[in-house]
Amino acid sequence: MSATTATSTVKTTRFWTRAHGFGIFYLTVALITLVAALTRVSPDTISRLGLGVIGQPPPVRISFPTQLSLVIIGVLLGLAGLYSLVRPIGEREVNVLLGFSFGMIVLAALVAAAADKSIDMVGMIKDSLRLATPITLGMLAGVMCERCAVVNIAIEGMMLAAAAVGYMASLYTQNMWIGLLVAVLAGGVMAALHAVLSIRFMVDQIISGTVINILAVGVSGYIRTAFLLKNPFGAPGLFPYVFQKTPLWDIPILGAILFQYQPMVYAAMILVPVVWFVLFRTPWGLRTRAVGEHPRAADTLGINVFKVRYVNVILAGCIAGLGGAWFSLETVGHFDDLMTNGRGFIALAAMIFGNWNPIGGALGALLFGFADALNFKFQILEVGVPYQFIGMLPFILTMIAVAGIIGKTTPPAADGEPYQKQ
Amino acid sequence: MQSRNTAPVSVPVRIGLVTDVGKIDDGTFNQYAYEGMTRAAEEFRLETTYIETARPDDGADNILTLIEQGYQVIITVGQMLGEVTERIATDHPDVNFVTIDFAPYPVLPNVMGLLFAEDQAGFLAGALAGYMTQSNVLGVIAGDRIPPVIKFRKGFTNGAKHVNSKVRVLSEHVKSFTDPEKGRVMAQSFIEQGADVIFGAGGETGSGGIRGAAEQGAWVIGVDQDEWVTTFEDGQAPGSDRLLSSAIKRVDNAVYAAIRRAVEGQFVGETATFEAGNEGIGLATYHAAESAIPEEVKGRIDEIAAGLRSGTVTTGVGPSGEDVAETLWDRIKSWRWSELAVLALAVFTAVLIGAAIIWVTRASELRGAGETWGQVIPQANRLVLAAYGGLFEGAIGSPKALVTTLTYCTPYILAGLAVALGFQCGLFNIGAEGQLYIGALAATFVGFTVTGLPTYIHLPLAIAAGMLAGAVWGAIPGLLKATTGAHEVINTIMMNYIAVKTVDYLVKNPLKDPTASLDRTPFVAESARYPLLSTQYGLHMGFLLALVTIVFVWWFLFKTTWGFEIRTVGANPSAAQYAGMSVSRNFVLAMGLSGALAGLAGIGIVLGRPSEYALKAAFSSGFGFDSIAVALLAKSHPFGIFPAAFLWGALRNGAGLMQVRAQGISIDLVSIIQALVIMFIAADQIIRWLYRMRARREAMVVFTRGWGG
Repeated sequence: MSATTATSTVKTTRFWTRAHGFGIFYLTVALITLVAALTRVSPDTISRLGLGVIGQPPPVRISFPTQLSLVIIGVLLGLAGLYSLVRPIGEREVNVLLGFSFGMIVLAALVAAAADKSIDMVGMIKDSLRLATPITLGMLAGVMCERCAVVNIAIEGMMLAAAAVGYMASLYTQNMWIGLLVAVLAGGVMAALHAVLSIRFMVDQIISGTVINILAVGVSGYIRTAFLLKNPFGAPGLFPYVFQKTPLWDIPILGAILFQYQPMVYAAMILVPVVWFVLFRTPWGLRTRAVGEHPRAADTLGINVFKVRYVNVILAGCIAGLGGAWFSLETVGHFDDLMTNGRGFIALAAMIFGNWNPIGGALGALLFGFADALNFKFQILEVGVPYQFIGMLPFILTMIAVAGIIGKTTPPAADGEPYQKQ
Repeated sequence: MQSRNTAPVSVPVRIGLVTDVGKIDDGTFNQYAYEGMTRAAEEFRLETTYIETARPDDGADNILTLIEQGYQVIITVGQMLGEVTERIATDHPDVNFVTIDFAPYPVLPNVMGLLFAEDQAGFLAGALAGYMTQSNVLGVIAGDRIPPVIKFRKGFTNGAKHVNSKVRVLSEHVKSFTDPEKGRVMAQSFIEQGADVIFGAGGETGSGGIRGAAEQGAWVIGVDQDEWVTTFEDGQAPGSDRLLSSAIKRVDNAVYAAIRRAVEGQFVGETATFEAGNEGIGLATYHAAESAIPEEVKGRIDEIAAGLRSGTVTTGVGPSGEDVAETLWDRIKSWRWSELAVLALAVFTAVLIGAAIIWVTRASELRGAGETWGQVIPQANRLVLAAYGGLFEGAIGSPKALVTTLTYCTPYILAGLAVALGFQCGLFNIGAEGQLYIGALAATFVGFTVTGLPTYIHLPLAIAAGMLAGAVWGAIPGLLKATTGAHEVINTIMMNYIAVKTVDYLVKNPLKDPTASLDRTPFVAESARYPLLSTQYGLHMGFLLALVTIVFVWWFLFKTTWGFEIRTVGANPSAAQYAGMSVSRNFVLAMGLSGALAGLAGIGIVLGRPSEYALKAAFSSGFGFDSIAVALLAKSHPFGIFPAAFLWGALRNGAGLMQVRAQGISIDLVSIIQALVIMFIAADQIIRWLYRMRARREAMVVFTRGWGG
């Protein structure tokens, strides 16, 4: 009925499609890679990437000339960029190119970082997976909310509150697992508040999310001073490594890559396919997506829109709670103010990056995790590229992805709209 | 196809018309447009054709079909076709377009937009209804909330009140223009509530309503065309004698005039408004109701019509349907006092909950230590008093505290203004933090690289650089929203991180002061520092600058055309588009200004505070979210910003003494109180329910429209 319906159907050729956005990005990176390779790297520099057990000389070590490798990668990226820009390509090809190009970018970063040095690949993979965990869990929380059309910018707050409350519980009960349970519940409670505000009171969901984020800072900070600082007990420690006492732990290379993690990493790995399955292969998921796309129609079909939204949002909060536990109970072993440090917003970016799909989002999270890992590596190795720029990469990528998704129906159609029964 | 033209190419002879959804005999303005075209065709011997649009999506194809067929003047009916027409016209400069109910922006040389003063037609109808009613209750069945309908409705209400102060107008918008049944139901409900004159202003929906009402014996008034002829089938339909008149938009005259100009070679791309002054609107004849309407009333109506023509009577409705408050008293009346009460109660309730938190914390601690309730309760009470006493004293308890609070609230004022300005345009700027960093960065850079200038040049230069940088940083998400539709929330969040990391890099590497142990830039020159108002307490000129900025932003928003456009876009983007404003341009403008204000907040911190004077890697945190809170508390009004920012500054400043007085209570209690304040303001139903206040019916500005815009 409105003017916007009329405009959306006019066939105009927008320049800013997803393919073009990424195309320009690939070309830019290709250019930077080529220029850097030809001007900053001497031809006889060698990069070494090792595969092996941490702390021991790697049994497998690949060495190759840095400059030549970077030039090859740069040319390949340039071709991908040109292809994206020149050819009118479909969704599938865009995604294939995206995967390919990011593989190339990752490789380029590694090769550059390993110039004249040796980088332990196993360590990189492990760090990436580990650092991707809170982002993945937060991303899943985002996907579950937004698939039923509740915008969630409060992932950060849910994780922060869960980290604090979960840690407090584990401290007072001296039991990590009760701490984990309480963290999950705390995430759920914060999400329930978001749900009540945005579903029952129809508060603008971004304002509601802002409320949760500020509240979480206050609550967690208050808990820290009021309860944690004068803690009468010893710290409860960290989650144990799941496979530590099993033979799997000692499998060369593979054991390190797959079996040397703490439980939240596995929780994330398992939840990604589970959430995908629930959303896309079960009646509940179908109902959720129907509510996200067209709540009125879903209501007409007898689906309880409010129930679907409440359940999804609260479950999403519980998943974010697992993410919170990753910080205080799995990684650090105590609670710091603002310890989530923006990971909740990065999770949001990963969700958008992955087109509101858990699998795509997980790949996004992995990319961001890798950027984090690389960030640390660069700081330690003192590579020529400032680590802040590596850290910026995910945010720039997200902006490109968001600019590119327009004109497609990727985000759930009713995302952000409160529902009112008529 | 062109060969049949014997006339010079510049003189159009083939006219085509594309209807709004509906047919050319719909009895409403499609029909009127068609009649105007037919009249011109007969008079100037033109070849005409028309296409009836079946679905909203077909409009563009229909226009293109006519262009392919070689029609040189194309008339498009209805606001919905306006944007499509605008776009197609850009690609076809050789074809002339006439579009009804839409003003192209910017003006195109080959598009003529025809607008109508629906409020004046409604005003006349309302005056008639106001004179004729016995029960002093009127009903308006309005169509979808688009400007022409809003103008009819508001004009009607104001017209009725103009002649009859006791009158009460019931009105309801229906989303559809083609639902006569719904119109009937609504008319029925108005009559049950005592209405005895019903105005139908919603296409077929309204027509259905007035037919139903007339059959039941209520007076009715039609819209757009003389509904005696259409809806009431030339007086054959039952209830025809109850039709008082119709509020007419002379679309036929307008279309005829536009075609005539094209035929005469006078076609100019512009927007023409048809109003009482040029016979573009008016009331239809009274038909069967002629004898029922007293002569005195007819005379009064003619007087009002004359007044509208000469401008001595105004409708109180603006060009896109907004209210135009006229007197100071009107303005004071339009203040929403109950909203102020909600704000005060929100703060009060949040403070109360804060007290409960302190009490429970202390009580559980003491109970845990084995004390009895008799011992616990007074101690917990004392702690609450100590905490709030400390908070109060630390915030405004002494001259020093008060001045420090003012220093604290300065960046809140500016960043709050930044967010509020975004809100006014319907934009959610979560990026104040990043804009603040970038602004501070640029100002600092100018502050320490440039030397040897006097303060009155150097300081403004540094401020200008910082504001410009903030503006650019803010305008980027605005531009991305305008061009790609990408939601500003996600982009401003992303740009916050980029800004913080950029500053982190620069401060640790190229801009680092090599002599400093800390990661910071060199100190800015003396000439680039804000003069101190109070050397004792560190209050600097930035505070006065912030106060001036409040007034400036108020003036800009409420007294200038640019500000008016920004507010119109924020209130209703499609109405703004209708009124000829560029929504995209305003997005960029508002975000740019917002960024400049946030930049100014950052500049004040670095150039103003004696403890700073150089940029550190992490020099501020939390302003992004706090400024959102301030803007919400201020209800986005510049004059509300000062009390809101003062409250925030006071809470922050008092938190220190609170912690000293009430050992074990974290300064983060302040964050909890702040979050609760925003929560209660955003969900004011909670407050209204708690304190048994009446519910508010108006909707808030909506920010969340999905990430794709």
